[in-house]
Amino acid sequence: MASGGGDNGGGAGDAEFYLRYYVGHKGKFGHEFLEFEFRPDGKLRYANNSNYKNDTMIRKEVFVSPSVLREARRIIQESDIMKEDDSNWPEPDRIGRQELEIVMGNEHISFTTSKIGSLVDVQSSKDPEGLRIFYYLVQDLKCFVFSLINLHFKIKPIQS
Amino acid sequence: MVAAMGRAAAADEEEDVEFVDYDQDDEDAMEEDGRAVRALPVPHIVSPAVVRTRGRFAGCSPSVLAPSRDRFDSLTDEGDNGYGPQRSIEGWTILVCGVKEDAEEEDLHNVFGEFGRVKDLHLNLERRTGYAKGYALIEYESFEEAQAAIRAMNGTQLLTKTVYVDWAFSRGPIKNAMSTRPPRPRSRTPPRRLNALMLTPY
Repeated sequence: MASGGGDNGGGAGDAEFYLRYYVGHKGKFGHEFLEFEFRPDGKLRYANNSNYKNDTMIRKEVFVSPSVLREARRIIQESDIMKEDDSNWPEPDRIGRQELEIVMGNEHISFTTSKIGSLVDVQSSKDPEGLRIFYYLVQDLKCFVFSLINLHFKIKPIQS
Repeated sequence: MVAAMGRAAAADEEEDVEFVDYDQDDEDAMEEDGRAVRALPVPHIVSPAVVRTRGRFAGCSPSVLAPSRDRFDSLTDEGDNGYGPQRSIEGWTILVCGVKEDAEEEDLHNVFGEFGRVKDLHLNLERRTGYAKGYALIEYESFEEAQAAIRAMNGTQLLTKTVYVDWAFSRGPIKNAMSTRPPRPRSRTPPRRLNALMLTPY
């Protein structure tokens, strides 16, 4: 399916792009979550809230270059996530929730599922192939964002 | 049907969170960005060009970030929003794209060490394969070192693959982000300013 990638030429006129990822839960320590987003104008926002031992919320934002946005697009493109569908993924539950929202080219996905502990959860789900793509993509995106935030602000993001 | 029920349940679960209606927040977003490229949550970002929306969560978007009225820490000077690269807290960060999958940190250290001491280097691995994901982030102490690395290495071959090297961070928004969107008559931005922005080459 070329529709999602048709305009990924890498030129300055890259079409719309938006990415948001959230993972979190509400429990003994309140609402603990990690969220980041890339906006079309290059603003990367990052928030991490862990109330454990009275940790405070970390909120950071920085404008990234068009090259960084393009790299995020490439990672998404190559994952083929835009072809997937979350209808058979595990529902969010007490343990937690993940959300992945992407606008790329003329497509928009807004997926939600539970937290995924390991590949065992992926294998035992009703859509192992799709969920595996999600599982790896999320890790690669987190890795990218953590590096950007870590290098820019010299803080170590913590896993939610 | 099942999907619809899931969505309803999800909405219920979120009720006790600070869930601000997006529209109420437009003004804040405006102040913060101070320009036409506004900090918009997704429902506004999606233009008529988006023909296909999928997913159980479509339209819900209870982003914790989007409606947040709290300040986000940033290294950019207040009201700067300018052009050009942004300094990171301890140096200048560049992005290398097109890194070969079997590249190792040492390869990058060798090549990029030519332009100055590499203070920090992230060569992240693809989780599925364990090979390099295809990019590296490198930090130098000085602007000049980083700039020299970009100028010398952008578009050159590294381990038989062409790499693209650029700054990682900018002082302000990508100016031409506007040009890919249709004009928005609802915008409160004065037309004069909007024109100026559209004409400004990035």
